[in-house]
Amino acid sequence: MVTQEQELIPISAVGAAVARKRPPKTRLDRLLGRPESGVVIAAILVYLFFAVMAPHFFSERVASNILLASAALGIVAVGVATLMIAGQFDLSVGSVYGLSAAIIILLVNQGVPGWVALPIVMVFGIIVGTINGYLVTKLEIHSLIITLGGLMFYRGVLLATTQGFPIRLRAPDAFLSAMDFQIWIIPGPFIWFICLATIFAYILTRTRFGNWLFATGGSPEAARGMGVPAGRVQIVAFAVASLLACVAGFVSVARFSSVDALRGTGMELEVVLAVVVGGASLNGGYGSIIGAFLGVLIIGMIQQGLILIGINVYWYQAGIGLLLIVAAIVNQYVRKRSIT
Amino acid sequence: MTNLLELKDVTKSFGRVYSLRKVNMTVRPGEVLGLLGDNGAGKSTLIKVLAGVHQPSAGDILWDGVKTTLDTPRVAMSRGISVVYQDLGIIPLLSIWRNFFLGREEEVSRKLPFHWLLRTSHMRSVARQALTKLGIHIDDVDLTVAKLSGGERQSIAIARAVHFQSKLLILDEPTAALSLKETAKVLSYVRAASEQGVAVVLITHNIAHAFEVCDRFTVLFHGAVAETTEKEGVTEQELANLINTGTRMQHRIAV
Ligand SMILES: Nc1ncnc2c1ncn2[C@@H]1O[C@H](COP(=O)(O)OP(=O)(O)O)[C@@H](O)[C@H]1O
Ligand SMILES: [Mg+2]
Repeated sequence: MVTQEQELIPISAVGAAVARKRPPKTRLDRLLGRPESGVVIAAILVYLFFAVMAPHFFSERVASNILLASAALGIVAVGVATLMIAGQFDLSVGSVYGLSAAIIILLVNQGVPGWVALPIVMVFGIIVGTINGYLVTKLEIHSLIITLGGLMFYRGVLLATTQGFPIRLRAPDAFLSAMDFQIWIIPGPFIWFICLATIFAYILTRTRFGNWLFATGGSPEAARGMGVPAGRVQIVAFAVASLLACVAGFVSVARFSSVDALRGTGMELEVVLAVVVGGASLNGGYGSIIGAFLGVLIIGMIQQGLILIGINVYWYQAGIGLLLIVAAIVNQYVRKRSIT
Repeated sequence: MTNLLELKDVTKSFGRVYSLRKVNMTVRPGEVLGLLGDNGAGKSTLIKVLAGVHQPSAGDILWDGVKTTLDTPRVAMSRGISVVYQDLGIIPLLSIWRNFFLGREEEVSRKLPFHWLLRTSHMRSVARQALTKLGIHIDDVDLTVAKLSGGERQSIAIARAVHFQSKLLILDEPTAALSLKETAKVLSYVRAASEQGVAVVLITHNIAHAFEVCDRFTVLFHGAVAETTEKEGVTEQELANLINTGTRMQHRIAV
């Protein structure tokens, strides 16, 4: 897939493109040229499919379940999308998510109030991400290697400290309980997700830092040449990814009051899947938070929809895998359309 | 008139490889200086020193007559030096206006609550105007740069330098991959930039292009300056010889 994407902007073709006249851009072109145009269609199709096939898909309970199932994944996906747009990966987010949830429970069980535990894990996330970013950008080690190490390390720490057993809050914490709210059918974790996705969608498209993220992911050297501190931008993006993994950990503790040692296993790939289905390019410089948001919702719908249809849950993996491949093909077409 | 830029015995080595040896070069305000040399002569290394990407191993850089260091690209940029690199002048996946303002984005007034938000519509119209001023007509500044021709990409980089009042614009092989028609256009933008008071260092190994727009030439040969000359004082053939042999003679005298 990577090699296909590299073909998109052949620098050598610059000369060949000279003579070509640009056809005027139609409104349809504009719509289809956006990174998330493929995933919007996919989301509608998946929704319609289950609306027809699955009983009670319209019910409030099912909708609520879909939203709840998507929330933690979504919060992490916002960070990973930001990082991927900046041109990097993080495979450690699933482990960091699980570990941060455990840290909160351990802290609160030690008598630390929840409103203190939250900033502590946030700082933890920022430190983890900054270390990742520093190793990747300054020592120029590939992010897959560094964060694969992180995946094993943080999971190992979590397994070792919990001995593999689930841990739970011994007594309710006022702050954590307050965070476990529900507005109509929308569970609290999903509201966190919406808020974070909105904030980051703004940051990416409407701020200087967002501009720098896209520029850095598009071409770090060129960005540097134009005065963008590309290394620092990527370090911040790594910090954002780990930070949001920790926020997701907090949100899930507020909801479920417990964590098992395998919480978040495999999440790192599911998140990449959601972000790529949402139209982001693995090569960086292209993608959107709205796309990632919808990518996450699609995964949630498939998860819950298959349960409703009564299909063996093992088909879930197959379905998601198929989705990724189809989405990648559609997105490739969309991307080509928007840049050539 | 003081020189805008002066290099004194600038040397740059990568380990044991010397890319620049005691280079002396001047750039006068508003002129177009052709920096010529064969592949590997050290042209790109020289401009990376001026861009703040590389630090010279020895020698001095004088900016407006004052000794200076250019520690990072941002420092060089803040002094008024803009560089358009070979192949990477611009970010293909970003739109025209975002490229135009990259690193110099305009934010909403500090008095407003969300003052870190970008003034997107303002930036769009400024970019469009700045392009028009240089004779570049692109109506839709939301196009991604990947959709533009090579010449249009170069022109955006040039317009950017002019608009942000760069004092020195350095172009590394801007015409390398362009058709004849596009090349003529880009060269006319180079002229337009210099007429607006921007000094230009134009790197090329195409002598005809150099003769068309440059006022003076500095020729590099194996990392050292072979000669610096006014356009009037040299023929195209002599310039070719300088590039190929380091002397005005057709064949290098054996040493
Ligand atoms: N980062 C580097 N490390 C080692 N050698 C380099 C580096 N950059 C350039 N060189 C060497 O310096 C010499 C000049 O290269 P360059 O400045 O790119 O020439 P030009 O742009 O004139 O073709 C070449 O021999 C090149 O191999
Ligand atoms: Mg070169």
